[in-house]
Amino acid sequence: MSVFTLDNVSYSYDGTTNVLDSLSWGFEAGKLYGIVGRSGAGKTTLLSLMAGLTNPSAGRVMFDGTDLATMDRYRYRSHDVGVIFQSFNLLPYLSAVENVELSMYASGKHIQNSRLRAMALLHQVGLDETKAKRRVLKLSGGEQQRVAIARAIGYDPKVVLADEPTGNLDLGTQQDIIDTLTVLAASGRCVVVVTHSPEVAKCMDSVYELKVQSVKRHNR
Amino acid sequence: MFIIRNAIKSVSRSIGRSILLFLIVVAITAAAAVALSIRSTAAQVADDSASQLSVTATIDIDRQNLMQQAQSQQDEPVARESYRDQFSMLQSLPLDTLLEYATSAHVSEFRYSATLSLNTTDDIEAVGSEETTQATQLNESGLEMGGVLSGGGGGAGGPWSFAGVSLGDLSVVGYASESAMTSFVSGQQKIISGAMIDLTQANNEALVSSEFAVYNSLEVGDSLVLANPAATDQTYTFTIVGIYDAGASSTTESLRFSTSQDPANQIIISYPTLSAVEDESSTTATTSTDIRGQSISTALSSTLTHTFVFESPNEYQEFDTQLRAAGLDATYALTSTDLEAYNSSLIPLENLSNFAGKMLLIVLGVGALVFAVVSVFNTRERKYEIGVMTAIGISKLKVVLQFLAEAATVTLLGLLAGLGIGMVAAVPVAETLLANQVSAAQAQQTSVETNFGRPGGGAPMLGGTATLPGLGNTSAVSYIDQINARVDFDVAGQLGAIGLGLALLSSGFGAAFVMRYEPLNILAERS
Repeated sequence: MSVFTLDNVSYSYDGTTNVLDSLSWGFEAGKLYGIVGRSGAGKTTLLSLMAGLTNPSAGRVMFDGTDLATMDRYRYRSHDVGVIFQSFNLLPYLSAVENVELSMYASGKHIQNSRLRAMALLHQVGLDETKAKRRVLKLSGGEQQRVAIARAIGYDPKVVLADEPTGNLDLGTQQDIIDTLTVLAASGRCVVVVTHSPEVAKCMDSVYELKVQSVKRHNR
Repeated sequence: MFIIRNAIKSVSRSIGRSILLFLIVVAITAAAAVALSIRSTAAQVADDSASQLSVTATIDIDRQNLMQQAQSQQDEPVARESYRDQFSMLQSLPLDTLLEYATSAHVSEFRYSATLSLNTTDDIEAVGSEETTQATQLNESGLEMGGVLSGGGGGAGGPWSFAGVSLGDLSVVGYASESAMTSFVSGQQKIISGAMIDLTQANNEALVSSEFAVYNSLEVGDSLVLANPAATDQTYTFTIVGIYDAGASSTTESLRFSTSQDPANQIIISYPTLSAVEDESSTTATTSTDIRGQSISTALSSTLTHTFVFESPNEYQEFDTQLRAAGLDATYALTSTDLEAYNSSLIPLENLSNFAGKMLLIVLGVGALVFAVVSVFNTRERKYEIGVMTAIGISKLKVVLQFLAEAATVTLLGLLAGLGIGMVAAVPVAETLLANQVSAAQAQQTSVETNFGRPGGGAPMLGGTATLPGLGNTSAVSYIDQINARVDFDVAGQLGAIGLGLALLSSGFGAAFVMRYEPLNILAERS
């Protein structure tokens, strides 16, 4: 049973040329998906559609059998899906742990001991307590990436969407992050990763390749 | 809860912006507190003064209105004779009508008295009759006194007839009640020998002034025989039961054309006695025709003086409305000099209140504008933050609520500080402004007095008096020059509403921008 289904989805920025053209894909729970493609192929656009940040020009994006266009997308984004943005999009005036806590509060899930849970998540992605309490502006790019990952999974969403989650990390840390995402998928979540890295793509259960107006699927 | 936490964090994070907004709110609140307290206290002072004011009024012929009516009815200038004919036909309202009006529930008291002019007889003379004789001789030699004035023989200084009424050398006043004897009530006149007359009885009892008594060697118990100036064979005998101090001495007053105007020559009797004298003269009166062809009667004719008393200006206004509803036409008008004086006394206070109102509007207008501009810049500056929050699923409504919480936090702190400053500053600021208003009002009045050649120059004194406009140089008005402009609960409540309004305004402008933003666009711009 697919958690996500793209039903003949197309997207155009200018109304004439489609960046995405008639995509009909399925994404299942418990699996790690990779989306690869050249720059400008529409990888981030696809992730924005799946995150409910924009609507397709044609077709439907279905989550658990419901068209996203008919859902309360603030609740969807805060409750059902965790997004790891390419440029992190953390609140700069908050500390790392506060950024993670904020997403927990926003989810409305009444998570107990949110501070402890946020600290544990940050520890899991490799940030110690000192760095966890530091304002994110004072963290390196790789550290901010880890905070973004912790924020995306802090409220236990069904789906995790990651846009180049290892783009700013060294090889060792890359592997740690891939391991974390693999564990998340193994725990029953659907994890979708947009990546340029062939090494990362190799770790995926399934990879979709985006080309301009065409797509290839590689199953393992 | 996280909205509040975020709001507080945001306020402390942007401390420079928060301090700027705080100072703006403090300035607005302090100025508004002063302005509101001035307006509130001014209204309170006016209400208190009005509630303590006992208004006196009379119903008189409204000459100004008649003049305007006559002018509006004719295109061409009205002849002097036409005015004279119109006005000569008008008569003051009779006592019966006034007594009927006095039964109104709005009237707390009705006082009246009537004055007759009688002549002395035998060896009794009016005080100052020699000087008056010289004055009248001067007038007979060619000076016109105004009105229809004609000289005649009889008595020490008269009789004179004015508009068909013969003038004697004594003034006989009949009072209906002790409250009508205002000079006695105020203490200007007082009985120094004998007793008060019975005002309810027509028993011919009389009070004479001490000067008149000494001048004619009269004592309590003596009889006083006075004559009708138009028919000297008609005499009336009064019994002196008391002697009073008239207050104003005849020598302190300027030259009079009749001795009856001298306070020392005022004989006081009861209104029933005066009425009986008047009735008696009517029964024996004869009529004749003067050289102008007008009919002249020897009957005594009194002049009625009346006063309606009201507990408040509001009762006065109600009574005025009631009079018109009862059919009192525009020929007559209810007028009150002390109400005019009261209204004039409030002029500086009203000016101050108006000034405070304008100041409040300007402060709120400028404050709201500054707040709105700061809010718009603030929201635009935080565009990325809004984009991130909405991207992770925080609704725009919650973002707006956070902005409102931030504005409310800063506004609350500013409100408290501004309220404190306003409480301290309200009294001295209000007193200084009121003193300026009083000085301006006095200076203006002094200037008017100087223009008319009356004394009144020099620097006006704070809290002093100025001549009441429209009443010549005899009526003075005392301006209210003290105001205790306190910041009370009402003012604090109004300031709270202003603070809430500012916070909502600020958030409202912010909300308008937040609602326009789409997270994807913001984050794409950032990327």
